[in-house]
Amino acid sequence: MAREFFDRQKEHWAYVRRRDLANEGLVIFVHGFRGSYLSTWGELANYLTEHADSDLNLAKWDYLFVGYETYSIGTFMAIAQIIASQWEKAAKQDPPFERNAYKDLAIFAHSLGTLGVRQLLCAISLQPQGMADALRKAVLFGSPLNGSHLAGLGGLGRFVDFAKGKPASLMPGSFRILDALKPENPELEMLHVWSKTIRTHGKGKFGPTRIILGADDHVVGRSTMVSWEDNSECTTSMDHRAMVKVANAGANTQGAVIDELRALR
Amino acid sequence: MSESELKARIDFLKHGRWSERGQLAWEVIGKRPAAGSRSEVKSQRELKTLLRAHWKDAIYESEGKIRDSFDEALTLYQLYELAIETGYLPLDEVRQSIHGELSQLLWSEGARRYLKYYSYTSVAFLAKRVGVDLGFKEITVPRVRNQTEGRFASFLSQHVLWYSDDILDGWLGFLDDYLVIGDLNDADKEIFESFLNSSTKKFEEEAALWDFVAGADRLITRLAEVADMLSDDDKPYYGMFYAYWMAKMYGYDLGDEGFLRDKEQVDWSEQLVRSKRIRHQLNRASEELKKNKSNEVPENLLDLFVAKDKIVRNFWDVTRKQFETDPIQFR
Repeated sequence: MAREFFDRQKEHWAYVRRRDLANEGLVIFVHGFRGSYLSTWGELANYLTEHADSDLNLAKWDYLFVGYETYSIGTFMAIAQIIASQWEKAAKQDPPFERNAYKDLAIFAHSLGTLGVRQLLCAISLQPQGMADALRKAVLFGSPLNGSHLAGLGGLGRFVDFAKGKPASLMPGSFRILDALKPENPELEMLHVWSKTIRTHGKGKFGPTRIILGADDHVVGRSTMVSWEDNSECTTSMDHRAMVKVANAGANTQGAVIDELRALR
Repeated sequence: MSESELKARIDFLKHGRWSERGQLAWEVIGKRPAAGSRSEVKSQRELKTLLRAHWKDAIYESEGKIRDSFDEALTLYQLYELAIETGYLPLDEVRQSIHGELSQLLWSEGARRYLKYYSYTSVAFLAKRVGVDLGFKEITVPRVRNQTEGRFASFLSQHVLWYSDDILDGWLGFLDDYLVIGDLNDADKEIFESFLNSSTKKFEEEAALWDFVAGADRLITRLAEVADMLSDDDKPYYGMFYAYWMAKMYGYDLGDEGFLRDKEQVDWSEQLVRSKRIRHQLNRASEELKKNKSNEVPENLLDLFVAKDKIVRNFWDVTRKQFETDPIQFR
């Protein structure tokens, strides 16, 4: 039986919920720079709607895709707040979550979204009550932990500014978050220190994070990647965009994201 | 589907940016004078002229604005058709309102001919579904492919991004022959081609020319994103939604025989891949990164572009094949 699919294009979220019983686990997906809450993940939402219930592991979870308009985001904190407020709604069983009492949470994020997740994990005061205990795993795809001179531009656009004689800002001025993606920028450095501190001395639970890297990721610059602390890492052969895309193959649809979802416990 | 879910879906489609941009068309094209009146005859004549095929007679700028708005107004109905085909919206819930709107917007012969000239096949399908007779021969509407509503939602979530992307918008304007940096004697397309084909020659407005490079890449990226998530069955139907831009990107012309490769038109993807200037700048970027002890290889970015372009070319091929025989024929 296909699942219920809620889609709120205006509010940038979609929700895939089991019909026959109330699951206790919720996976939240967060996209990256100039992505969209659904298309970033390719066919995933449709696949989960149609096929999640025929897979023992996927059947246990409901799925929430959240998003934002990149130009309106100024800091990693803004993304963290979006995730926090969605989990808070879910935990309080506000609509559309009124049927489910979620106890388990997993967060999947891509690119810029991963930095928002890291920010959320560090900013304990921002976390809704019970979130840390509920968090089973954070899976971060193509995380620009060290920023990128050309991050956010993607594709050929990456070197266009270089060609123009301006190192890094092709984007309209309203894309303020681009500054936070530059290597060695203060916000990224602060996040790294914050993350390290919380892991070492924090009273809260940071939660297990799993980092998925792309060997062919030219946006993040795989070759210069220096890992942050305590991450379980996995390298795929894919590029930045493709690593989170789930291509259509009906019931046989495969993808790194689906593999990670199946591995949730 | 709950009532609130249905309402949210319909509201979003109805009030999207396409509807805002389509307002002018509703004012000029969608207002029918009293049936049988002299002004109706006049309007019919004027709209037939306004909405003529551009390959038969050049379009003035003032006409272009109304026609662009008409395209946006029609976007809503293309979206409705896809939404119905995919089970995202149940036909019964929207049949009546769409019937009224299509009857109004497409009352004139000019507007109906425009659907044929510009292969608005999905609007013709929709009209058939809701029972509006546009004077076309019998047309077979695509079956409803239930269980693909999530796919439509993904497609829609990316299409919305087109409206907030200045770089992409600039490139679409370029493909549509708008003049930003050139003039009637030296059009943007000629300047850009020459820019790409030289390595170091200085150009005025180089920043704008580089924006075109980024815009072309953005278009291919977006289209590849859509193509990636579609089944082979789906591709032609979504492909028709973007057929106009894929044709422009790959140097195809739309004529009475459908889409045909016009060797006089530039295949812009091919131009980008072969561009001496892009190669030159990639080499420069590479040298610069080496100086900074980075192992990044900018040349790989061009390979990524080629990979995405391959996906989009296939999308375009499949779309064209499906519609080799134009399903829109007047009775």
